[in-house]
Amino acid sequence: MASDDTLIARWKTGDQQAAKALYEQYRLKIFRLAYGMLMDLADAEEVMQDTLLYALSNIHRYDPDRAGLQTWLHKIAVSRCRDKRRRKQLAKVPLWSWLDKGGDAADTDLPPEHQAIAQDNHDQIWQAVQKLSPKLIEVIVLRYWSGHTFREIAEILDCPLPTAQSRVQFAHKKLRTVLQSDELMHLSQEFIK
Amino acid sequence: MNRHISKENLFRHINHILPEIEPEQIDAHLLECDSCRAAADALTAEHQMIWQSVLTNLGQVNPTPEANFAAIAPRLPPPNKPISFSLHAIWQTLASGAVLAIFIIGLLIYVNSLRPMNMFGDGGSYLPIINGSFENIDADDVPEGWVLAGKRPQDYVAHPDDTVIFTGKSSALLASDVEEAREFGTLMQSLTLDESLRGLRVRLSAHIKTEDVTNFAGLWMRVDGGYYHTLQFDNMQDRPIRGTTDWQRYEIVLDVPQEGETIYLGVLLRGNGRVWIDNIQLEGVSNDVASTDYLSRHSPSNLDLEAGQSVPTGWFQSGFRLQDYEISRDTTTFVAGEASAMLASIVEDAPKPGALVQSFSADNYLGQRVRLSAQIKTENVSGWTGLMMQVGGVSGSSLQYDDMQNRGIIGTTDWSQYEVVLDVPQGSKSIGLGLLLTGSGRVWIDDVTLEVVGLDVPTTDQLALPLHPINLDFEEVGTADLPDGWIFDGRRPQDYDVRQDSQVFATGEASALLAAKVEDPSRPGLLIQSFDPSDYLGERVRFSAQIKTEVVTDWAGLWMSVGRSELEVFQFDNMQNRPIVGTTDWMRYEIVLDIPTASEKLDFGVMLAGNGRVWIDNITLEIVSDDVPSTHCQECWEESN
Repeated sequence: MASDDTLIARWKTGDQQAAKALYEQYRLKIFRLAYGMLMDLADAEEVMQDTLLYALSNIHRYDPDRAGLQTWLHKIAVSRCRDKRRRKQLAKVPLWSWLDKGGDAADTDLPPEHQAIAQDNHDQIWQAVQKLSPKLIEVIVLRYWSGHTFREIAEILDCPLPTAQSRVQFAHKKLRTVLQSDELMHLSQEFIK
Repeated sequence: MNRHISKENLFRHINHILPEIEPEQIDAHLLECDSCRAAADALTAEHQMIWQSVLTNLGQVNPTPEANFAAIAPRLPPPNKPISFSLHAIWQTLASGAVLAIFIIGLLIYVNSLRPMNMFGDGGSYLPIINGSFENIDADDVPEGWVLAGKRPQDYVAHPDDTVIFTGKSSALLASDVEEAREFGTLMQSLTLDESLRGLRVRLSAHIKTEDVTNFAGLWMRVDGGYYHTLQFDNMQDRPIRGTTDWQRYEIVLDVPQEGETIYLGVLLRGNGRVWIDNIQLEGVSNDVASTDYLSRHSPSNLDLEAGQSVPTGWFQSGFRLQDYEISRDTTTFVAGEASAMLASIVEDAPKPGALVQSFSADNYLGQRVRLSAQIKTENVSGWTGLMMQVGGVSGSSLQYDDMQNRGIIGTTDWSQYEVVLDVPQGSKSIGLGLLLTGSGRVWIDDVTLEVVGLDVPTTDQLALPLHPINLDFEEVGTADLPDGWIFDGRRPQDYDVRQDSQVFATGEASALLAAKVEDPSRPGLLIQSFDPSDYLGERVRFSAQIKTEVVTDWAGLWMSVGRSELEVFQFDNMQNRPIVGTTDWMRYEIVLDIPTASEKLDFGVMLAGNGRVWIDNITLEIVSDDVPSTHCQECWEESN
């Protein structure tokens, strides 16, 4: 598979197949990032399309010395998500109300009887995450979904490194408040057995 | 190391961030200290839990298959021709009166690139459209030769229909496929022009039948030159097909100029409904047949709103959510003649503005200053409404624009005269004019005039930022009692009383007042002024003013933002970290920000959140040295958004 750099170089010469390959490479990551921040499928889809359209149309603005391509894309996506949030009062639809709980994503290593418990625990935490402020949801999604380093989060959010760190830490603190610390401990122990 | 490890250092340790103490020391301490080890284990478990939860929940959601590369490919620029997006561009599109055109542009480029073809044969008055009779059937697919496209094609379906036909064995059906189709879908094809067709006048005609069309349906056709420059265009927006209608023949007539390279054509459906199309033909016609091209109309029409049936002739509805508004010709409410036009929201708090517009060529007004004036009456307008006019350049770029946002009409008002004044610079291509409504409510317009005025009449153009701020002492009053040069900024102007105040002031004879008019306003209000900071680039600037407050419950403060646009802000401070609350006498406050060299806009003023009243007076803006500390507050910017 061609590297991002190769694909970017090809797209800069007008090779639409390269643009398509870049699109496919990042489509799902950006969609899920946006979904985590907006909790709205249609909005997440729009953010995904807008982000990739903007990025591909403005590929000359991408500076590989400053950040990786994914970091740059996520920076655009976060900005689009904020834009969406500003323009719309979010209708908070609980994920589990429509989500198929087949549970074949992250829990396949767990014995079947644990999967249901783990799913419930995940739901409770996810529910708590959604109760955080948009700023804190951003850092949780960037850190735990996208796996960004704190330096990358600082770049994406355009804030100093210590701010990125303290914001993640603050998100943890708020989560604890939301979930009641002893309940979280209980769930944690059950989960890591 | 005997002391317990702080929570911060544990967090850093687990996250592999450089801690204040060596990792080895922490590990050693954790071996010895049960309490710290328990805390570290709990924190690790917490991280794992969150991580698994996020992975589980986000790992299962997927975009719809329709949100694919093909959906954005048409809007990608050709190599070395980057495109950009901005709010401004949206306004350009809205104001140009060809809201569909900009989206269609990209689609067509894509379609054309997929299927380059030269369909025009030698001679014969009918010019071949592939499968114009829709007889080539593959029941489950888009009719052969045609492409389903649009702003949100995934919301629409198109296929041959052998149950509803005008001629032959089948027609084509284009129908919405979702409960609330938000954009438009089109069944279209493109034809590459050659020498034999240039200079011809052509007519696109088809039989169309509709069912429950909520917004509008119609034929559309465009003739483009090189670089996707649109030469001729009509989409029947001024004579839309709505509701349920039986088979009827519709037509569009355009010229194919010598520089024309491609024709794009089709049927479009905006919003929900079903449209059948049959027997579509493209033919050469004589010049006696009138052109329906928007772009070559040289003057506005039906300004008195007298012509028309349910909608005024020559005017059309525009905006990004047409389904949130409706337009009509109103024969019960008018100020002159026998009818006016009404623009009304049909949903509560529509998120995007709606408009009633018409557009025409700028040729007759080049180099002149023009005034658009009209009588307007409003009822329960929750956002704001006003006249709008846009002078467009090549490719729809906005050269001059005013929508009265800085003096918007709010609430319920009787017939009054309003006006906007713009220049039409040499090189202008189009003029769009009309009425704009944000939020909910009803607004009527009548007795519209467009006239050339002298250069002594000041323009109301909103695009050009002044190089220098004005009226910093609030002594001059502008329209609607606002201090001259100042505007209210905020989502709910109806919640605030904003005006020059000649009763309370610090110096001179007046100040500006910003006061909450309702209990606990849900959004903050701002009184601001914007200017082009070119004279300050690279400098550090201090904005200071005297402020007095009365029972401010949340907070008041100076406000300043430096950036390239509203969304790209470089420096910001709103005094959120040193708020003025309660009742305070005149006191001087200040904000100090750097003006990066890339800055294009500087906004400054005063804001009020919550209940209370705030007065501002005697503003100074000055360059200071770098040893004056900056008050830039990134957190405040994020918080304010």
